Amino acid sequence: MISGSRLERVLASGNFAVTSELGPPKSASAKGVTKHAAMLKDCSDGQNLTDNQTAIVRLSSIAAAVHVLAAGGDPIIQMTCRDRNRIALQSDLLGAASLGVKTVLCLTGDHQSFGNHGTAKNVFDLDSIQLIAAVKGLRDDKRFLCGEECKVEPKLFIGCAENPFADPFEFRVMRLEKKARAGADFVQTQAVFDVPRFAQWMEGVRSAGLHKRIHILGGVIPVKSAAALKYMATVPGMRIPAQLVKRMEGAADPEQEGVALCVEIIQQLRQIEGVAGVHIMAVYWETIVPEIVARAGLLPRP
Amino acid sequence: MSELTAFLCAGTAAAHRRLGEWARPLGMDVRMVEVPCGGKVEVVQILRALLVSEGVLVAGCPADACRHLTGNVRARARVAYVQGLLPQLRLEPQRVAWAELGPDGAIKLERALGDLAESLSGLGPNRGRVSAR
Amino acid sequence: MIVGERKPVESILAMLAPHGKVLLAGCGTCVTVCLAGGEKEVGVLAAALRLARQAEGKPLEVVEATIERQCEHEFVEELAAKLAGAEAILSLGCGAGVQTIAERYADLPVYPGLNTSFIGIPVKHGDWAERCAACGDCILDSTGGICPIARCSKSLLNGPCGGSAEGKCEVSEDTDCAWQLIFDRLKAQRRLELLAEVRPPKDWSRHRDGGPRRIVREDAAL
Repeated sequence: MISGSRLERVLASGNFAVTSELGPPKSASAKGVTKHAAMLKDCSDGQNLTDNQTAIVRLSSIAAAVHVLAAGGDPIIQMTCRDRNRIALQSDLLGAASLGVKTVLCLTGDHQSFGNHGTAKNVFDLDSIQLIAAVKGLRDDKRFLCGEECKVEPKLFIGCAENPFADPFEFRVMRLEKKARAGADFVQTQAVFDVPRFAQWMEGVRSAGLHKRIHILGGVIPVKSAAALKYMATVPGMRIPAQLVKRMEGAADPEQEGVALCVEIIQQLRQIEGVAGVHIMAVYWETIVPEIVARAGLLPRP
Repeated sequence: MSELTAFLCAGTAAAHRRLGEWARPLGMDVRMVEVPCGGKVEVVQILRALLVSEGVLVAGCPADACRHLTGNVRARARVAYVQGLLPQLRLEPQRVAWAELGPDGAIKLERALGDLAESLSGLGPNRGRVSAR
Repeated sequence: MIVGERKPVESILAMLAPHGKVLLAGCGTCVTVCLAGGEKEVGVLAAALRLARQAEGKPLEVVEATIERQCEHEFVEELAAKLAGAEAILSLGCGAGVQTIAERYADLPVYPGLNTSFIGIPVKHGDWAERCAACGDCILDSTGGICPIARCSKSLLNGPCGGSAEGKCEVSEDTDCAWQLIFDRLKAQRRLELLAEVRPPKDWSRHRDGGPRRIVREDAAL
């Protein structure tokens, strides 16, 4: 065990892992975080805290992680390269570890033009792959990026994201390989709706032997309506099969249909060789996660 | 009395020459500037003409009938540019107009000048005008 | 070349409000080619300013002068002959031009008439695109001659982010994904192995982040 995090333990034991996601609020109140953490801690092995997702200012992911810890959860802090340079990133890694955080997810970050501070200057001093390498260097070599020694290293389990549906498709396996080589221990993928396309990517992943070097968690999103699914289809890098939109449109109870669809996708992902778990992104619908995990037959958690 | 400047392409030269007789009864004082093609009329010329007159007409050939292929397209684009610029200068965009004429466009030219003069009469004097011609 | 864009006339008029006579200086180099600040644009702006100020009842005298290059003292010197009575200089040069003029004629206010946008090329008539970020440490040898610093919205060094879709950048569908372009070119050249390498963090000290840059060459000094 490198970090001793619950997710690391579950994955190391060969159990099918479940992670969930929690969006910190646009306020200084920790109430929602605490409430949702209490709900998610028993049905997931780690809870992602998003880092100002879509470039909208929110309570910081590290501060939110402290509230999750207090609620008995297992926080996974997301860390993007958009807002901090290598000095601040490394500083926050040390700070997070000192507060009890054991898992970090290294991301490039959404461009600030998507958010509510479109006139901001971005940073992108590092990219996500360089950030992974920076965390690994600190953890395993006890070295900062500059080469200086870090006396007490942050013992962090290192995650990354990958979008099997983005272009160029041929590069997506190579990119995951780079992330594994840089030091990522696990990957959470973009939400899967197009299972055949995901399976095609997994074939590439397996033939490169990557599923043996990095734990792969397939992303899923429960949708409440056909409109939500249609909106997602407009997001760059998302693939939504038309028949799923039709299915949601024809549903008598769209919320229940959304849950059923999510459970089905989880079960399909479980059948794919090399998939080590699922990451359930139910931001704004955190309350549904226990039901999804139960119906997918993934309770109780190990 | 309107004092206008009209840029005419060679294709409307005949109209230009006959206009002297027709324009006077309308009470128009028009300075004709003959150019080889509408495409030769630059933005700066239109603006400079406005410094010394009440309004500017740029007349060229109809679409697809320019003997230099795209001179008329260029001329029209430049008129549009000036029309967009004038409000930024707190001046009325109607002071500049584009007219499509043919080789036999004398009547159309007279009408275009008449239309321009009429719209200018509703605007009052050109406040940006620096001097008489 | 350096590509610029004229500021809105309203903001130029606001800068010139206190003055009755100005020298409007064009530049015959980059900004002439990108149709932003050459002799022709000087003529248009001069006429426009005169019209607007006349309409305001505060006539403005504009002396027009376009020199070869505003970023060299040797050429900037030529403006001296046209400055009699001018209360200010409005430059249609890039930021380097404006500052060279301001340095030489330090007793006069010097105003920028352009926004200096980027180093780029005309991709077609009336359409200019950024190509170089002047980062001070060129990596085009390993990216198929396509710069990810200038052309990727996030200046990524290790390949496209998850927002690359159908060859376009997630930030704007008018922007090509630089990494898709790089991937396609290197694939065509059978050099994809260049992309497998994990590129370390960039040395940004050679970019603007290291402070104002300067190049001194003994061999070129007189």
